[in-house]
Amino acid sequence: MNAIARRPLLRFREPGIRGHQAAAGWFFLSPVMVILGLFLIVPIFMAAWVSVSDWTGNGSPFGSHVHFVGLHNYRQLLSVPGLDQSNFGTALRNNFYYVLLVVPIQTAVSLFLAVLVTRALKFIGFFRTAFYFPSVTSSVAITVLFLFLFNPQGAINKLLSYVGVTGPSWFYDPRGLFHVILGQLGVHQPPASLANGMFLGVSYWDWLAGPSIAMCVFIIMAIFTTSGTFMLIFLAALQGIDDSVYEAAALDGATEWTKFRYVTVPMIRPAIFTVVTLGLIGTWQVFDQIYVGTKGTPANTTLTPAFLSFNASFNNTEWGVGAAIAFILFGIIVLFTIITRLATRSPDHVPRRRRFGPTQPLGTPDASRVASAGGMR
Amino acid sequence: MTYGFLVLLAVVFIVPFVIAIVTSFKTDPNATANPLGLRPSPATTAAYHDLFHSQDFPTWVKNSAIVTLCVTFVRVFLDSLAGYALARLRFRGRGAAFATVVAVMAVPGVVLLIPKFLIIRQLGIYDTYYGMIIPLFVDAAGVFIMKNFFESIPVSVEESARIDGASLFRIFWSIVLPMARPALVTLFILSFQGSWNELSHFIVASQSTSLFTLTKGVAQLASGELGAGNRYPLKLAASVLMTIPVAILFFIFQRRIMNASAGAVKE
Amino acid sequence: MAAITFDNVSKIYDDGFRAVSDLNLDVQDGEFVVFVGPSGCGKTTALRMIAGLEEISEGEIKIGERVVNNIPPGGRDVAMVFQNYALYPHMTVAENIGFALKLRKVPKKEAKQRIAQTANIIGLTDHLDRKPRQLSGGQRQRVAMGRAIVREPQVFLMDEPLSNLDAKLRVQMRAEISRIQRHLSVTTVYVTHDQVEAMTMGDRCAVLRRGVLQQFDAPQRLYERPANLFVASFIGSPAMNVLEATFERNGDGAVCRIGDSTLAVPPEVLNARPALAGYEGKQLAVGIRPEALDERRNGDGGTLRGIISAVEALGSEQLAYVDVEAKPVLAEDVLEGLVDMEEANDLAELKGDADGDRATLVARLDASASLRPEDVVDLSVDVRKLHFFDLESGATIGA
Repeated sequence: MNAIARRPLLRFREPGIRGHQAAAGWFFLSPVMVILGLFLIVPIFMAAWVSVSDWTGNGSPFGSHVHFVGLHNYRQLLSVPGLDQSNFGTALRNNFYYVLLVVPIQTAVSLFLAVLVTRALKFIGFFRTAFYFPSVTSSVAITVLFLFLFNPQGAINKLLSYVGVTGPSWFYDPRGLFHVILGQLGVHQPPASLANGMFLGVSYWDWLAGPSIAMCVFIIMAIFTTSGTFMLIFLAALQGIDDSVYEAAALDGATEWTKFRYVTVPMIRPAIFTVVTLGLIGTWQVFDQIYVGTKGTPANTTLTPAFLSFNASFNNTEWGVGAAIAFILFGIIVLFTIITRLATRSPDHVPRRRRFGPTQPLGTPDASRVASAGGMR
Repeated sequence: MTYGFLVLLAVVFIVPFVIAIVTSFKTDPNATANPLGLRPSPATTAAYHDLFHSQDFPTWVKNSAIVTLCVTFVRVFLDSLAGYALARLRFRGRGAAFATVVAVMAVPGVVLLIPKFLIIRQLGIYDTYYGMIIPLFVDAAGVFIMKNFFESIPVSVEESARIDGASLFRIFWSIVLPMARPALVTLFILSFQGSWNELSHFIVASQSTSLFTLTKGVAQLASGELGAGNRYPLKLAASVLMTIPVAILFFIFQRRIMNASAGAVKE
Repeated sequence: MAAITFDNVSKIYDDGFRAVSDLNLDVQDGEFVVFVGPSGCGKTTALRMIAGLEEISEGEIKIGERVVNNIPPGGRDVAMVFQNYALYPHMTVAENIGFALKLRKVPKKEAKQRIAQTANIIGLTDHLDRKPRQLSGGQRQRVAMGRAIVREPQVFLMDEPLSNLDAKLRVQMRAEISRIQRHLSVTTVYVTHDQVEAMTMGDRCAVLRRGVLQQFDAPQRLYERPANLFVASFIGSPAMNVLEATFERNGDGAVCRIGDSTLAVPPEVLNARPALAGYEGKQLAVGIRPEALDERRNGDGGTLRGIISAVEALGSEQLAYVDVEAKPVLAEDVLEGLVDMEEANDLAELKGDADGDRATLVARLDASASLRPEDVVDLSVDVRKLHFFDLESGATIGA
């Protein structure tokens, strides 16, 4: 009786159909689920185990010689003074500045490009293509290109010399940007209040160093490569705004700038959220470029948590530490995503279903390809 | 004025690539001495020559080709199977399956590096083509794209086929899939692009030089050599070559790619 | 509050297409003028030129005493209500209305007061905190009006503001808009393709066709004294019946031979239209409005005999479709004047079909008339209300 009440439709169909669909459904779905499960889901649990174990890379991580060590690895990174901690702190600092500079600049540049491109009615295709092309190339190729351009005797410094500026040694320059700026203003030492503190093995003064000049090249690289992709997102959003709203604003007395500020920007808020979120996710994972370019040098100023995780595990066989770094990074990304979501939520916003933070849009093996603005590619 | 800005910016975006191509035709001393010069003097194809006759470069090309083609074709097929199941077929657990797919999409790639390595090793496919290819067979985003596409096709076509007695797979293969051509092409291009340009997965999946793809190979060419032997034309020639296939695909299918890139990010 | 002057204004696009040709008209201060015509006639373009949303190719537009050709939209002191309302979706009703005030840096207190007053006028005082997506179509339309009203501009411009509303609401809003305009006495230019709206709302209506002004007059005059065939067919529903006739003098009066029938044209009609003298023995077009036909014997102007093909009972009256032996005038002017395109297509078919002499007249009859299809009827024609048009130019034959 209950079955009838619950699923009246089912009663009127042949019993075969539903069963048939179910079997087919799972059959169709199984390859994908198996591979996803096997290569993505199960491994996460494996890695979680490794992060709380003392596995050294020999044999299976589930072997009897591997022991549970609780939060030892995490403590090594976060609370126990030592190389692990200071490296981790340095990596966090580097990546933090990378994120801080890349995300806003990239968002602004891509929005600016989108606004310009929507206005260009002739050759709009050409410009779109030109700005999007860098996104299509591999991070390896771009890094090689930038290694060439930003060589101390290379093209960029040559260009700067034409305007009388002596360019820095870019990839070799470990000086923090903020330290350099402060230096120009005559400040070379930390003020007394900051002189002796340490956080995560890095002195407060060093925390304020900003990104190193070397890191700045990576920042420029990130903006160069992903502005095009985000420009497309903004383009789509801008096209959704009807001209008549701009006309109404013009009649109300709005200038170009006030139109932009009061009409355009609020109306593309979802796109802004998307771009910022994708940007955050990508920038916190930057790896490829570091691996190809500087591998953390000079003076560990291009070290990032992602690279550190890789290095600790694959090169130093500190698998537990490496895995722990990865999970901490995961937490950081989730945190930032939530913060962004809360920050851009409009007061009467109705949460849409299935909008769990970052949607990684493109069909790539590493699903966060586009998501990784300037990061993993 | 808008055009002024646009042209200026377009130059900024295009010039680096122009420099790359031009430099690949320079000699080493020429490249180092005159990095900004847009005319190689002398112009030479030495870099390309060295690449093609080297031990490694052709191997890299071969590996990239193998991996990319395998991954792309299989992935398009499997993703559409899954997308169809999620879009059209009704069965218990469909919601959960979909939620899983979405959840996986949400995990940042870097977190998966070590896990992937572990499982690949555990399964004994480390340092083999299998390890490089199989994990890439499926990606959550592709499933999502196909699912959305299938949902937008009117059901009536499939229903009439069903009434005519076609089996489910037959409906999928002969009717729905051909109708999905635009989405399939898009997925194909994006998968090609993604796997051709992939690096980190190959780093963790294999280590022997015979399995190097173009990305790993060129990375090796470039990395760790800051300051040692500036063979820029060679490195840039390699970069140019590795970019060509993707560039060609891009120029042919640009509109499609750009629409997918913007439209796929669902709000 | 200001007058608007169009001085030889034209709008010519890059490909040479003239959307508006040599428009000359004067809107008086406080007047409610309607620009009306079929789609593509240039009415919206003319409106947008007043607003500054379209460049003026030739001529000058003056608002008040100022020539506004080169003044940007924000500086012309005009407010516009768009067809799709163009509300700012992310702002509340209050913010939408107050946006222009904010841009002009009106002090908050004053702004709040003005917004409240406006909300009162449009009847949305309780909805000030809602967003557009939470409002109904009619409410959104009123917000669009509120946005215009609060600015206290010299001119109101309205671009088919009611076309997105359902019929009943449209009738209601028509009255609302008229009431508000009268209350505020702001010079208003209103664009519509609906001649009923034009007739009921306008102090004067400018009828446009393909960029050219056909006639600019009070509604009643447009109805009673159309300047040409187009205006005659466009204004009035059901449309005027237009038939070919041969004109002959007959003593002090004249007759029109239409098919087998003869209509006597009384001397006073003739005297009022001296130009008719030139049509002795020639063909011209005769226009008879549906209400000038009656199924009862009425005066001795003459009758038209025909067979009823359909009767539509409307409750208050009946419309009878009568086939008569006469040649209909199906010139382009007439066809284009029939706002309902389908009707025009049907007629065009008929034209090709019978180069012959069958016209279907529409007559407005009393509700009590008992007529049925297939009945033969003699329709009397009120010959004092005949219209005469030149067959070639379509112009009214008058003075």
